[in-house]
Parts: sequence; structure tokens; C-alpha cells
Amino acid sequence: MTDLIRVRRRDEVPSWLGYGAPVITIVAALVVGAIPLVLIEANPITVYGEMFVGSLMDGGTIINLLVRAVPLFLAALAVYIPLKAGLWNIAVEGQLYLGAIAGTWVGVTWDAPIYIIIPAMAVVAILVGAITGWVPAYLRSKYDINEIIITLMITFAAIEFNNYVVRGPLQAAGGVPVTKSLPPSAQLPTLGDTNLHLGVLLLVVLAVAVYYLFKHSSLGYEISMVGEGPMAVEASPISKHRVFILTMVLGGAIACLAGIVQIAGVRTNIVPHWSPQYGFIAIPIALLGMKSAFRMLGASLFFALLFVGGNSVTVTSSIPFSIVNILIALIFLFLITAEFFKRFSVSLDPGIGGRREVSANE
Amino acid sequence: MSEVLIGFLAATITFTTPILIVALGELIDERAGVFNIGVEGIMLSGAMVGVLGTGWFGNPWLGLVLAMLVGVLIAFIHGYLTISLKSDQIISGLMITILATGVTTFVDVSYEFPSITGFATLDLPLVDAIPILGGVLDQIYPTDVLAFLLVPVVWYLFKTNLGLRIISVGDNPAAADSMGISVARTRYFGVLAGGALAALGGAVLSVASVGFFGAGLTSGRGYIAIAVVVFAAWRPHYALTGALLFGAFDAARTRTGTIHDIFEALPVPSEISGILIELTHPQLMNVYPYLVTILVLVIVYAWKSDTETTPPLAIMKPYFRESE
Repeated sequence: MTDLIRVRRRDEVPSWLGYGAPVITIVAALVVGAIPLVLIEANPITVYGEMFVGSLMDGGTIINLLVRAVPLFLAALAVYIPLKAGLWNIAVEGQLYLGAIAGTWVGVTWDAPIYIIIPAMAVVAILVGAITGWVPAYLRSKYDINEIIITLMITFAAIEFNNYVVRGPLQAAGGVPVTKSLPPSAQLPTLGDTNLHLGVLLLVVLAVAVYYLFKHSSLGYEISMVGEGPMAVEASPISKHRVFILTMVLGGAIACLAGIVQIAGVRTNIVPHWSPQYGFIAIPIALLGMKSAFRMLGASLFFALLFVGGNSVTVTSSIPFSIVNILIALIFLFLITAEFFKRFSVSLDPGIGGRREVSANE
Repeated sequence: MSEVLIGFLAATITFTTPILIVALGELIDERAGVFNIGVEGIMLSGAMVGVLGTGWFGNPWLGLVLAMLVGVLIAFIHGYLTISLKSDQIISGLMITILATGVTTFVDVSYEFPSITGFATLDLPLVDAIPILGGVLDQIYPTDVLAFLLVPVVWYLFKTNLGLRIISVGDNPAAADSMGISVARTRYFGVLAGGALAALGGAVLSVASVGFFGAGLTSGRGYIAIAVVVFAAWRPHYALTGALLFGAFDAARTRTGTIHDIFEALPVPSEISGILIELTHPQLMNVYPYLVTILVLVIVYAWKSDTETTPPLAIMKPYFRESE
């Protein structure tokens, strides 16, 4: 059967497909996502209307959107920078937890003025991130151990370690699995009465910094060269080892910073599984935005909208919040399907010997 | 004392069984060159469908079969995306886990699950006479036997023609293709077999071990199974060792009271016993399997004792013909 279908790499993506693919993807995900809604006798059109339009009408939404985009965008950057060098950082989800734990530990145990304690929390979180980035990078560079496996193990271990911390050393009184809350002096300042915290500035700062890194700096060029593959590097004086270590350390640092920003800016304490898998969702976001950091920022804002809209729908109705995870997963599953049809043209093979014909074409 | 030991060994087997089944499935999957983080999601779905099927049909075996069918179906999505559409295996697998977590939580919140009767323990004759082991064997379920029998089956699979094809498409798909082996078909076999076993492992956990389904029931056991495969250096017989070791961690975790009593009775300063007690905190013990796996991987690679212990060479790489 496979021989009847002719698959050919496209030289160029037809423009209707380039613009149409994201739209088709989202519509398809919404249609499939409607199935569970219909089964619990909810009207999908009302639910989606409330989710995407209703929530945007609310004045506070823009702020919520920016706040939600922080962990998504920072986590996506933590995947993106190593990925530019050809490394997969699957540790991001775990690093969010580890950064949160390290920073919270400083925040609840150390009594100092706010302008000292906040930077101290950030520095400790960044250090933990640097270490958890360095280990897989070193193992990959020195022993050629697959970094995907090591970073995956770091994530699993970190999630379990978080489960320990909320019941162990940092647990609040009362027996509930939750850590002590950060004192007000260890929380990020917010704008007036809103929940727009100082960490939102990171969206702009890091987007510009990373954009500059890859578009205008020689370091960014070196990283991209390493990512291009071994051929490009061997003919140049670029140190692969240095690039591996640097990108993974940077990625880990940003991911751990995102973790503590989320606690100090939004949550104030840690509970088990507090991250709705930001670190995993960040991986396809990073892949979507491979072309530039600003694209990634756009994608992060879109998925932040799903979270914010999902929140407002599920708080006011009996619809489970997990519909958001279902929609996000469906969007990405359809997106990678669409990606294939952007890269390849598929047609029925009119004659026999099609395979040979294809190789002759190349 | 012997009762404590019997309890520990029996619990080790109970915890080992689902991990072992899932790990053997993931092992076949990965040897064919397809990595599947979706196993956590497939296991979770299998656990849910196993309980539903057992409730609907009134028979736990039929529950397991239904779970396996659903496992094959979900694995097909992963296979279609990664083999036919050549998508990235990490993204597809992660999204399947997120989707399955979402769907099972959704169902758990909005649907009342049937209460079920799972399996009866095997009533083995004559074993009561054996000290300790007899007590352990008294608490064995048929599903435990099934899991342990799967080890030689999978081991033998890799000696057969099919098994050698699986290994060849996982190590060097281009060479396999040139020898007339269908890379796609063989990889599909690996993925679907892996999906069936992942769902079976989940259903065994819900139907045989705990007797109900709740959101997040597997609590990362699919991930443990992935760790077992790495720990086992992609070899079925080592997977048994790995699953037993991590199963023993789990069993010890539920018995920390006893362990702490032992530490307190040790003739050492109270600071040391205090540290030991903190290190065996039931929640902290969940971290160890992953650290052990990293350590084993580093030791194996740093020594480079033999090439037999490296991952399948083409793992996580979609296969493109030169003409594509």
C-alpha cells in the first residue's frame, strides 16, 4: 500500500498552506475537543465563546494573559536555546520545580529586606538551574550520553522531589502537603491592586536579549553553527563542548528562574504538581518559534489565552479544567500532522515504479 | 520478623508487576527505534478502561483485553505521527500523555466508575509448607505470573526473525530497508505491541492491585518504566532486575515505619539515625529510581565496557528514504 502513495519533499510551502495550517489545526482541535463537552451535555459553542471571546472582554484578561505567558515563554526559551545547538532540554518541567524549591527555601528561611531577598532568591534558583543544565551537557559532551534521557530523568526526579519538599522540610503547619508561604517581603511587587507582577518584565527583556543573541551576536552564530551539525563545526574553530555547556546552563538558569518567579509572583507557596505541565507544553512552543524569539512570545501568549479562558469557563461551570490540557494536546497533535503536509506533498502514484521515478527527480 | 519479610516480598511483586509489563512494552518499542513518552498516558488510559471493562463485562480478564485494545489504538496515533508522518517522537509522546491525563481526569470528574471485583489470588497447592516463600506465593495474582512469564517471551522474541528485524530497524533502518525489511511495518509492530503492554500494565495496576480508578492513579509509573528500560540497557532480562529493584523501592516506601524502627534500634549516634530516617522519607524514596538510572547510565558509558549496552542507534530518529 505504501508504494501506491507517493510522498515527496516540497521545495516550497504553498502560501495558502502556510497561513491555512494554523487555522485548520485550531479548528480541528476545537472540533475534537467538543466531543467530551457534548458528552457531559455542555454546549461547545457557548463554552468556546466564553473561553476565547468572553474572557477577552473582561478588562483584567490582558494582565492575566501576560502573567500566564511568563512561565510558558521562559520555559520555551529554556528549550529553545539548547535546541539551537541541537540539544533537547526535557528537564525544563523539572527545573521549574527545582527553581521554585530553591528560591522558596531562601525566601522562607532568610529574613532580609525585599531588595536583598528577591535577588538572592533569583540567584539561588539560577544556580540550581545552571547545575541541572551543566550535568546533562557535560555527560553529553564528555561521554556522548543521550541528553534527552538524562534531562527526562531529571524532570521525573524533580517532580518527585517536589512531592517530598511539600511534605518534608518546608511544609507548613497543619499536615496539608503545602510549603510555608513566602512572607510579603519575599514576594514580587505588583502594579497597584492588579496581579501584574514585576516578573512580567522578563517577557520583554528576555525576548529582546535572545532575539539579539541569535540575530546579531557571534556567540549566537556559533550556537547555530553547532546546531547545523558536525560537518559545519569540524571545519571551524568553534568549540562544541563550550556551546553545549553554555546553552544548557543558560536554559536551566532561565527555567529555574521561571519557577521561582511563578511562586514569588503568583502562587506564594508550593503544592504538589503546581505546574500544569508548562515545561512540557514549552517544548512544542519552542519548536514552533524556531525562527525567532518573538514568534515564540506570540505562541506563548496564545496558549496563555487557553489557560486564562479555560480558567474563567471552568470556575463558573461544572466543566473540568482538564479540558484545557485536552485542547492544548489536540492542537499540538494536529499541528505536527499539518507540519508533515507542509513539508511533503502526498499524491496517489499513477503508475508502477513510482519509487524509482521519485529518486530520479531528486 | 518473617511476617515482615513475607509482607515486603509480596508487596515487591505487586509493585513490580505493572512496571515490568509496561517496561517490556516500551523496550520492544524503543528497540524498533521509536521512543514513547506516551506510555505514561497509555498506562493511565489502560488503568481507566480496565476498570470500566471489568465493571461492564463483570470479568477482569475482559477488562484487561479491552484496555489493551485501547492501548493499541492510542499507540497507533503515536505510530502514525512518528512513523508515517515522521514527526518528532518526543513531542508526539508528550502530547499523548498530556491528552490522556486530561481525558482520564475529565472522565473521573464527570463519571461514576463501577465498583469492581478484581482477581482472586492463585490458590497454589503444597506451597504452604515452604517457609517464607510459601507465604509470599499465597499472595500471588494470576497477573503477576503473566508479567513474569512475559520476560522469557520478550527475550525469546529478540531471538526470532521478527525480533532481529525489530533490532535492525532500530539500529540501522537504511540497511534494513535495503535488505527488503519494511521499516514502517516493523516499527508499527513495535509501537503497537508497546502500547498494548503499556495499557495492560495500567489495567493490572487498577484492576488487580488497587481495585479502582482515580485521576493520576499511575502517578508516574510509566516514567519509572522508561527508567527501567534505560537501567536495563534495552535488554529484557535486565528489565526484570530493574523492575524488581524499583518495585522493592516502592514496597519499602510503604513500610518506612518498620525501616525507621530498625534505624532507631541501630547502635549509632541519634544524628546518624536521624539522617537515615530523613533519607528514607517515603516521598523522598520516589526520587531514587531516577537517580539510580542516571548513575547506572553514567557508569556504563564512562567504563564503555561493551557496545552491547548502548541505546538503539536510530532511536528518536524518523526514517527517511534517500528519495524522500
